[in-house]
Amino acid sequence: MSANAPALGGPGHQEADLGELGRALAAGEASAAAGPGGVTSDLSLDEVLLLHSVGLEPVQVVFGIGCVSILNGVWVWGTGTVTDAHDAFQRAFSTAKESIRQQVHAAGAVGVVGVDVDVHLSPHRSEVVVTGTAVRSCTDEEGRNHFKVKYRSPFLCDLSARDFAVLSSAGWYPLDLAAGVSYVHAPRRGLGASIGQSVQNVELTNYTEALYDAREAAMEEMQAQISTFGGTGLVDAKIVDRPVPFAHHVVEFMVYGTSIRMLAEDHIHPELAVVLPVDDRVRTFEAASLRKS
Amino acid sequence: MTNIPTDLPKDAGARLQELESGLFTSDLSVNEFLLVKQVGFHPLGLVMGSSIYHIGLQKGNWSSSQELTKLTAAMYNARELAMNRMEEEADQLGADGVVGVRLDVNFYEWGHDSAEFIAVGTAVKAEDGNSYRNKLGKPFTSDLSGQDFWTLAQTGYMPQALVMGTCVYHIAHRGLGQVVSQVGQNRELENFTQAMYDARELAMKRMQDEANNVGATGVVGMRLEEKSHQWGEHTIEFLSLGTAVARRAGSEGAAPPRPTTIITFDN
Repeated sequence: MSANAPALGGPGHQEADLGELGRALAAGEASAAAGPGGVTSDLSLDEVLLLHSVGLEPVQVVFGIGCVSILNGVWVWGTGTVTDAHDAFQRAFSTAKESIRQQVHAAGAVGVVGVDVDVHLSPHRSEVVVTGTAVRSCTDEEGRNHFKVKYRSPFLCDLSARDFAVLSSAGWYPLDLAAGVSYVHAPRRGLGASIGQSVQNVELTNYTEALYDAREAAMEEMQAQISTFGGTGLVDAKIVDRPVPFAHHVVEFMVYGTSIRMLAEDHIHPELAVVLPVDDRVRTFEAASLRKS
Repeated sequence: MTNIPTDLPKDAGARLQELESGLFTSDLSVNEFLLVKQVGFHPLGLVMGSSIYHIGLQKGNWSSSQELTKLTAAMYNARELAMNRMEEEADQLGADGVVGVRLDVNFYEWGHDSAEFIAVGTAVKAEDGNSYRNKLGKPFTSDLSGQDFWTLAQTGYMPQALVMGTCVYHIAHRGLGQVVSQVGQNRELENFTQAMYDARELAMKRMQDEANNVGATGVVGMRLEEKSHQWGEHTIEFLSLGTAVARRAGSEGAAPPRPTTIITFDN
């Protein structure tokens, strides 16, 4: 990685304005980051050491929240997709990312590792909370940065600090979180069809198509976001596929993950050694065991 | 690569065309991603197949153990449909195979005797330009993790296909006379044993037939699942799943690396 590594972040990245609240938060954090002992992180010691090995150090825990209301009545069994819930999620998701970026900016960090994406859907709102540890480049005595990659806007990744270190040693760097979602109504079957098919083995093609289409749309949405960020890939995609808890006739499909891009000339293959641990399982003392008499 | 399979929904076609431009998506973890790259494969995209299937009705005879062929056929066909669609998506991407395949069955409340069968995996393509497709000319499929895939590749074997066998079996109830005569005794319930035994053998036999079909020399990572789904406790589906493997030509000398024994400090 040379010092003139390409800058990252597409044109889609802009600083968001959170208004008074955002400025107050940003001011508070700037002073916290500047003061001595202002470092907070939810990383383990091992992870901090690994981050140091790639030239990064933790600054503080940052978070972002997006909460968007959903209209009344969208969950009534209908046809097609619940676009209102979809739009609400996407807006909440991007608001959460904008607000975490504000905090990262304020803390003077280059990005966030180990972002925990917490999505909560209730009948009237879609809520996204992202929490992670902001990291900045370590500097030596002359003030040179150890971390050579220049990001145009802070990176967000839901990979752990460990995964970040492993990935970057192979030449890949994270850019941003990408997500796609779809909420689709299960089609109703006519009574005639139900009775006609009740004893047969038959594929319900209209059901299959409805769900399949919605899922493909969600995955396409995620891919479109990756392209906007300038990413060339996405690893560790998380998939949620379930009926919506309060409206079972709606099937939720959500896929999200961290978009990545290769910055090295070529993929760097790490050296592998096959090992066989020979330690026995350690039996540790558990205080809870004393209570059982 | 321009002929979009007609069986796939139109959105899938559009999404897959975008993937051909070099972007990839995958649900492999970072470790798995690096290991798959190490073997010489590059991920192409998340591929998916899905089928919602209405499972016909068939009642088992209360007092006899028997296979419920109609239910077996349903479970089999529906999975085949989902897997084939996933393979079609992979085929369209020009993939050599699909790794990390997961097969799921979802029963929805609104479904009335129907279930969704879904197969998801990551399509991969060899970077050396050779074809790793199986004997049937299809991309190989495998439910091995990235770690297992790497280890398998070190031995000179490659996955051929995710093979499965299923058998839905009705296990006879015990007659009242039988129950009464056996109260208080230690004894084997032969009819239960026999039924479980037969059903498992059928499922495994079918899996082996599939493996023979793709010219595999063995099945690794095999597992046997027993589920009652929604049929009550006397009707059980036995599903055996595994990855059929075969040795690649010219890899006769390959041997797995000898592990170094270590004692870790991080317990």
